[in-house]
Amino acid sequence: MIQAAIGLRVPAGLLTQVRADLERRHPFAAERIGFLKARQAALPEGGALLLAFDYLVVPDEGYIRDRRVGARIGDRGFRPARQAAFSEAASILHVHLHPHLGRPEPSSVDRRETAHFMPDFVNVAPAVAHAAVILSLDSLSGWAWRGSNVQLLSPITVVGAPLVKVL
Amino acid sequence: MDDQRRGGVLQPRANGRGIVTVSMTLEALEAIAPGARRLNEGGLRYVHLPGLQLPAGCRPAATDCLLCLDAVNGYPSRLYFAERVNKEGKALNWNGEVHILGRAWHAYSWNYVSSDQTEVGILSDHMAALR
Amino acid sequence: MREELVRQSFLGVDSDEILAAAHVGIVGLGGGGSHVAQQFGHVGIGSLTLFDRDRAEASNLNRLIGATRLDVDVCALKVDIAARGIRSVNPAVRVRPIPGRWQDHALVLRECDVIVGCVDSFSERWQLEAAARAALIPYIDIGMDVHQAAGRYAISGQVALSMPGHLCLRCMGILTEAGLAREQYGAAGERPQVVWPNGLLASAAVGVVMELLTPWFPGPSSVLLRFEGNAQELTSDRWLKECGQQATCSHYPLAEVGDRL
Repeated sequence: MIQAAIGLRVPAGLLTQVRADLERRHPFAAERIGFLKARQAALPEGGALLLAFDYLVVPDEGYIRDRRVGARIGDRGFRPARQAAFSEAASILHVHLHPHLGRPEPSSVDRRETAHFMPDFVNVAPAVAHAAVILSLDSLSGWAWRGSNVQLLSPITVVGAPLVKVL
Repeated sequence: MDDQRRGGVLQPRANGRGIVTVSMTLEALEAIAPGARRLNEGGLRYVHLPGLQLPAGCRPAATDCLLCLDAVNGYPSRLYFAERVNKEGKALNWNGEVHILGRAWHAYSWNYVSSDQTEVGILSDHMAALR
Repeated sequence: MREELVRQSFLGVDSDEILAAAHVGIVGLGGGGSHVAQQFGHVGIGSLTLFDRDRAEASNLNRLIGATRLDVDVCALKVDIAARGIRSVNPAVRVRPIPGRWQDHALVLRECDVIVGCVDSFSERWQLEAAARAALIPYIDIGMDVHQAAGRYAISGQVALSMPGHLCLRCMGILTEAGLAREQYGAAGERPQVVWPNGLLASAAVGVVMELLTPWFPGPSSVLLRFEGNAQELTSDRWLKECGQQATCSHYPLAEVGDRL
């Protein structure tokens, strides 16, 4: 059965804001994490669009020391995103940065950790899709969770001048 | 203070100082259409009234409505319906077929609505065309 | 690069792939939209969705690009005429002609990367821009008008880019409540329309889309081009050029996107 497509649109100005946050150094974590808020819009044949409209910065104190991973955030880091999902029925997109050129791919740590926390968002806001997005220095990719289904976010469009579409 | 009724429509209660707040007016609208909520689009203010009960004799008897509280298309305010409403003996000029907030809406031409009143009053005046 | 597009290789090394992956929606395939559709077929846009419920009439032949006398005789759909022209240039284009109101196919409209509006009323512009903004889609609006003033006829028009997060048609003064009100109560009837200003404005609109999609020139986030037909002048709005790029739109906050009902 062909899965209905789930795409993502991010305003260019918002993505600039995300990059600026993720590129900041953290006192002890090797990388930063943030959350985009999005609203879902229906497409034909069961497809959906995630339309990003805001960004939640994870404050420094939201991180937990863990040398085994690039960054780990605790409940203090997750709570605002979970709250947004619950009270606003917002789609939540976990975002972090891989500092290389080209299309980013999730590491084994990324896959493991995402599988661990994503059900929380699905449980508090099951009517909308949620996602994990990885930025590289010049590209981005992502995966969407819709209930128990996981699929590639495609296409991803950065909406601005220029308009950039990643299939 | 008891609720005042005007044309069968609840009027909002003022607080002790005679001030009607935004939350009060939404409460009054929610009493008429449970689940009523405010939304904006394109700088215009709307109140979504799901399943609004229409005056006796209307077909359908209830439907989703959208009350635009700002001037639009030459009207000081406008009441949109999710579907055209029929009532025997009423010839309405349905001249507002629009797409707002992702849905199709229909409105009849009705200009006997003062903006200088509560939102419930505005709604009541729009509904007068169906009474 | 496809041989057909080598003469536009200056648009960028991967411009042909970028254009092939792009999906543009055109609402209104009349005098302006028929020009736009033809040009998108030539430049290599890969997917085009066309919305218009009207059929060709004799009075369209002075400006409907691609229409023939036979089309009028058989009451051909304007979307089919446009699709025919596009496919004749590039059979590989995915053209979806929708012979109806876009409002009745609003979910399909959302699939577009860019929307070009060639509609003939302020009310249509108002609704179309709102739908584009709700789906975070850049909207390019084309308008042309022939009006009488001081005993003479004057041709004017505009091309505007309404980009999510930036100035909208209300901010630019194109959509006003006064204009919408005049339209509601004004006299209906055939408005004058001619081919050459349509072509000029359509070409400018296609140029805006090309700047958005291809890396050849860093286009601005907000565009307002005003056309004074009698003077043969197409100029950028001065305020927008000098101040507008940093201005924000209060009518369409980013939080008001998606399905909210």
